[in-house]
Formats: sequence, structure tokens, C-alpha cells
Amino acid sequence: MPDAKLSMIGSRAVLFQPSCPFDLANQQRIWAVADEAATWKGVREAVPGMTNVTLLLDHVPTELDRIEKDLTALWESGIRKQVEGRLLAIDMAYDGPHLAEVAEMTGLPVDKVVRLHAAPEYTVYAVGSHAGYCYLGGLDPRLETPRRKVPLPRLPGGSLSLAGLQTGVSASAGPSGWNTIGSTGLSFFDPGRSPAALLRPGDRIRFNPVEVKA
Amino acid sequence: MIEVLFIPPGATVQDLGRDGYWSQGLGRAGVMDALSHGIANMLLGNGEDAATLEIPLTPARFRFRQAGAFALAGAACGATLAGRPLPRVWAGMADEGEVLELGPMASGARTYLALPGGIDVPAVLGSRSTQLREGFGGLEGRVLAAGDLLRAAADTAPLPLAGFSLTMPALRAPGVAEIELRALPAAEHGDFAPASREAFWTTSYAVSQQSNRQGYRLEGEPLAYAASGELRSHGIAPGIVQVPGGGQPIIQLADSATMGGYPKIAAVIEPDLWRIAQARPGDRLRFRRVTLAEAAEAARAQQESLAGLRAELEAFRVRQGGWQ
Amino acid sequence: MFDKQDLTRLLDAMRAHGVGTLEIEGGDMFLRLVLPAGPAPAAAARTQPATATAAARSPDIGRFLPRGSDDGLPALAPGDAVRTGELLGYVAQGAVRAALTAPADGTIASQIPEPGTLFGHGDTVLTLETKP
Repeated sequence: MPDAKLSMIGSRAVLFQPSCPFDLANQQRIWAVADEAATWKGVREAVPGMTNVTLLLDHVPTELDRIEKDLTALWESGIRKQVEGRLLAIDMAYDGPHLAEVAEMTGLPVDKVVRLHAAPEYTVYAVGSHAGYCYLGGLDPRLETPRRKVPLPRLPGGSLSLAGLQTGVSASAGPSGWNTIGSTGLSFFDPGRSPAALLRPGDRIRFNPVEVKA
Repeated sequence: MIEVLFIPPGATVQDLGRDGYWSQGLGRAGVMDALSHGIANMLLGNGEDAATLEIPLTPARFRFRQAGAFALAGAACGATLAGRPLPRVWAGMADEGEVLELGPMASGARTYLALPGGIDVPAVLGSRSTQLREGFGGLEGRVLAAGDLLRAAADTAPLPLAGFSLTMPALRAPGVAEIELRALPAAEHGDFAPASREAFWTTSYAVSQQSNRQGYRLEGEPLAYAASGELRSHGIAPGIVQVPGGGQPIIQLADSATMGGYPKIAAVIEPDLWRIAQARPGDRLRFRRVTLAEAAEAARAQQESLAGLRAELEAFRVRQGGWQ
Repeated sequence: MFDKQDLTRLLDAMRAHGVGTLEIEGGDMFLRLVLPAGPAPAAAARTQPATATAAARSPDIGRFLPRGSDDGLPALAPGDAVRTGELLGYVAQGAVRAALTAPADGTIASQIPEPGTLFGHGDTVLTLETKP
């Protein structure tokens, strides 16, 4: 059902995906929807994704239509969370295992891939995948690549990857289905810190290339 | 207090999981088989969220440094205490110095060891579950090894002297070779080729060797995703069945990523997640399509069944107390 | 919980053991059985056993469940050697299975009861032959 905006991703988890362009203005609407839905009775957590919201509920929902209606109304009201978060500069070594592959897939030379990737000021759209991992918006569309057919079982923490129109840096070692092009030593998650995650939706990042190695 | 004498890497201290940090990208972790974990705790009179030791690989040996009560529930593993055979579901006493030995798991894939009051480790971010990826929680954020000591949070548990066992739900329906998992269609279900949808709901899938707390990779009829374009990353929950480009499904589980973007064909309902946890590589899984109403009913039925067990255990303790 | 057959068995057991009144309580159930006083049962001729025996007594009221059905243990058979404290089977009420354990080292000297046989607390479920 391509038009239905609400779907189940578990007995108690629903995914709301309005169709909209993938940009900051729409992501700001998503932040507002998530903030509001998190206060609803029966909602345990509301997690913004990339122009979508996942809700974890207390119980298996019996009235999916009701939830879809309420979320759609909220979305269509156009409320936006206009946050200007902190700006963080991150030293990045562009030395990832798939850098050459990305150059090939995009038809661009390696140094141009690096320049295009390091040029923008990225906004943290969502935090997820693993603790502290930030999904960043602002990737140059010329760097669009498909996800890998077979995910790699283990990439070290601090790996910079991209897939689709998304890019991000991993906060710890683990599997990845994206194309990895760089690495950094920064800590994005510390359970001793409050909040534990370094960055929040709305914060901004700039990458400073310190090395290029394809 | 028990001492680990021998254990292959993979056992972790877990409770029902770490709630409330999904927005910071931290997965819930927690036990893979909440049913066995809950029953092991129930047998000792613990709350359901008391931490247990999840043991996915054997053989394993533990020595009781002090006399105490313990419980086991989950896969049959030829457990013995001081050489005396124990059933796969058991609560009883151990004397100081006695060795609890777990042998090979012929069927089932995990067993849970509970101690009075739960395993005593510090709670981090509200839970005693282990975050293996991030390296915190449970016992020092890692799998257990020989030499580790596990303390019980309470001194005693209300136990009849000889010990007792419990009838637990069967993993498979009688006479059926496959493990049946009830599931709801997920967002991209309609975008899979009709023959693929048919294959998903009617043929069985084998659990591959690449199956662990993060997820189970399955092998069977490849599933063809008919739409194009990359999906945008979204929250994923344990039980979601994703299908990456290769066409072989993966069920995301307790330690999975908190977000993903591979096409999703179905979501296994929560009351059946424990069955996945008890499936071994080579076991065959079959997905059965259910409605939301059936999923709600299954959750309700499981809660009712657990409440019934608690009541029966309480009546049993009363009877035993009356005879002492 | 108890049907007519169960009650008949209980009453027979009461007669055999010279028990006049039996009260059973469990969960939300209470049962009292009273036998009218009658002549004491004839004492069974007691012969001196050649070997010592020990009785594995029921730990609860309930139905016998043998080892080896779904518990990962091998089934028990007459003649099997068992050790003190070893699990011999269960006496079950609903889902709860009270453990029947060996009171001493020995060998199983009686038939294994049929699954579902009703036992009262303290009844002999199995007899072991032990070293005198």
C-alpha cells in the first residue's frame, strides 16, 4: 500500500512516513511531530528518523486508523521545530575501504568526492542506528550511492559512511550496509555523560579533511 | 555467589532491556527469550525484571561459592548439579562447593540462569542489560569468562527443599518440524513480487550460522523487492524482517541497530520473539500472517498465562509452607 | 479438579492406610473426605525384607509426571540406579511440577506409575532398593 502513511514495525511499534522531499524544512516538521506524539497517552517513545517518526506504544494498538489520523493531522498542520543547535568541527581522515568504489559509482575523481563531502555544513537530522550515531542531512546529491547488497559485519567506531542521500559517522564498532569513506577518533556516546549522546537533532557538523587515501 | 569455571564467549547478564534511549540511538538490548527469563525469575519469586544470565553456548561450568538457590529455564542442556541430572526448567538449592554443569543443547538455543533477587550488577541508564556494542551494562559491558563471580541480589528465595519444575509452552506445535512465527505485514510488504509474498508466508526458512543477538540471517526462497530507490532510515524494532538486496531475509533482534532502511516485509509479534531465540542454526522457521487484532489477543493471552503461572506458584508455596 | 475416579482412588487409599479423615486444600479448592469408622484393616503379613528399601514420597498432591517427556532428561525404568537427591519424576498440579527425589542411593524397585496417577502428599510413589 504505497499511499498508507502508517505501518507496523513490531506488535507495538508503528512507523509514520509522510511522502515529502528529503530536506531540512520537512525534517523540522518531523521533529515537531515526534515531540508532540511523545506526550500522547499510550506512546512510550517517539523517535524521529529521516522524514519519518517511529512510535513505541505501551500496548498493541487496536485503532491504527485513529493513530494515523492524529499523526496526519499533526503533520498537515505544518508545525515545525526550528532549532539552531551547536556547530561542531570534526577532523576526518578520508581513508575508508569504499572511497574508491564511491568515486567509481558517482563517476567523480576521489579528491572531488572528498571536497564535495567536506564542503557542506551538515545538520543532525536524527540520532539512531546505534548509540550516538547521527544521520546527517545536507549531503551533495552528486554523492548519492546505493546501500550495499550485503552489509559488512564489522566496521570500527568513527567510520564515516554514506548511502542514498544520507551520510553519518559510526559511534562504535558494528555492522554497516553503507559505503565507508572515512574515519575519526571523536566520542559520540558516553553513558557517563548526561545526555549520553554528544549530538541532538538540530546540531550541525563540519568535516575537516586531514587525510585522503583511496 | 557463583564462580564461572568455564564458559564459551557469548553469555551476558540481561534483564528486560533498557527503555527510553531509543532517541539517542541506544538499543534496548535485554534477553532474547523473555519467556524463559521470566519463568526462571518467577521460580525464585523474583520480579520479572531481575537480571539473569543468558547462556547461548555450552558447555559451561559454575561453582557455588556459597550455598544458595538458583533456577534454570530454556533449552535442555543436560544440566547436572554435583552430577545429579536437572530438568531444563528447574529451581532448587545448591550446597557450597557444588558444581553446576551445562552440556550440549540438542534442541533450543539459549538457557537462562537466575539467582535470588536477580544477578547483582550495577544498573546503568536504568537497566542491568549488557550493551555489547557500546561496552557498558550487565557485567562490565562484556560477555562472561572463566573467573567471573556472579552475586545474587538477595540472600534467599522461597523454595521447597527438593526443588521443583514447571511446564512451559512448547517451541513447536506437536508433530510439526518447523517453528511457527506469527507476523504482521510491514510497510513494504505490498512492494514485494506476488510470488515472493507467497513464498514468504508459505515456505520455510532455515536459520543460518550467521545468527546472533543482533539478528538472525535466514536462508530460503529469495524475496524479490519490486520497487526501486533507497528507503529513508527509520526506527526498527526486534522482530522486524528486513530483506536486503540479496533477497534473503534477516530478522532484527535484541542488539540490532535502532534504525535501518532495508525493505521490510513483516514484523514477528512480540509473544513469538522467544521462539526465534530458541531456534538453532539449521532449524526451519515458518511465518504465519496474523491481523493486528490477533496480535493484540496473543499479547493478552500471554499475559494471562503468566498471571496464571504466578498464581499456581503462589498456591504451591502456600501448600509447601503448610506441610513444613 | 477431582473427578469420581479420583475420589474413589482417594477413598481406597484412605481405607488401605486406615485414614479416617482427609482434608485437601489448594488454590481456591477445599475437599474433606470422611470414612465411617469400621473394623481396622487386617494387618498385612509382614515378611522381613531381604534388602533395605526406601520410599520416594510424594512432595505434593497432584498427578504423576514421569521423567523424560519434555524435560531433557532420560526416562526412568525399574532397575535403574539412582543417587540421593536425584530427580525421579514429578507430582504435578497444573503447570507446577513438584520434584520427586531419591531419598537414598539405590535402584528403582517398583513400577513407574502411569502418567496421571493421583498421589497425596507423603504417599509412596516409588520404592527403592538400597544397601542394608
